[in-house]
Amino acid sequence: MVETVIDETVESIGSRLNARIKGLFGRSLAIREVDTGSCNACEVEAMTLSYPLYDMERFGIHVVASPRHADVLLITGPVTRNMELGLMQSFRATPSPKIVIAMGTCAITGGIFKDSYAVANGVDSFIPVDVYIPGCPPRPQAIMHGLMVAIDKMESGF
Amino acid sequence: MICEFKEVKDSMMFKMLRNGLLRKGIITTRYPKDRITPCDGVKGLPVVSASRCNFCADCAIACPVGAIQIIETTIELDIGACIFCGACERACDQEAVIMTPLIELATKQRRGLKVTY
Repeated sequence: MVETVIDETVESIGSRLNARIKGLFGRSLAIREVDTGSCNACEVEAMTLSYPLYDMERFGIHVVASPRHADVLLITGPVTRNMELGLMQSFRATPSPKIVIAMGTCAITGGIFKDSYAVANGVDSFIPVDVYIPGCPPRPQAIMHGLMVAIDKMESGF
Repeated sequence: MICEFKEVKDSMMFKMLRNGLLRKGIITTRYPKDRITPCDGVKGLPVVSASRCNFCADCAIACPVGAIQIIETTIELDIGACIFCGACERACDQEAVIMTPLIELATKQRRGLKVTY
């Protein structure tokens, strides 16, 4: 049996998040994750959100298989040259209104790959970014906080 | 019906189930109300105490990504470049740089990630 200490804190933020998502999108928040050449650490942390310990699906946040079904683009990685086209295509394929989240240090500035000949120093040199989540990689709770910041930005009309 | 239920209630299987034979427990954690307190060893936002710092720039030299810039008596830290490795904390002789467990750092603007001490 897994022994975990459940905090005495409440799920108030999570349920509030759920209510806000329902008000904004009518149903739930769909995330499409775009890997633009990251080391997979960010993917592991984002995947952890679907596991029982964090379980973001209880708040109505889902990871979908296509940018055409998504409200949020969660971009990881320093945007390598090979993924420039893929990033632009998935950005254009996402229906408006959309939120772009740059997750991880690589997606924000290029991180340890900064100024390399093969990368383009972050996502915001191509597409406008709404929320930045720093961390190398950010913890799952930090990603959840980032999603809350994104919804907050969307509520206030960008 | 009532006596049947009592029989069920007194049965061995019911007792075993009630005592948690097959119970695995809930492992889903709740999102904290005020601030996340991660487990020990988690490195979050590096904080520089201006009173202890003597602007020797050891941290800026040690930083592998160049996130720290020291301009005269101000320390500019770019969290968007920081990889939270803790090299600055180890390099500081004055113990002025401390890696705090603060991880809720998401911002809406790029300039919001730049911290000046």
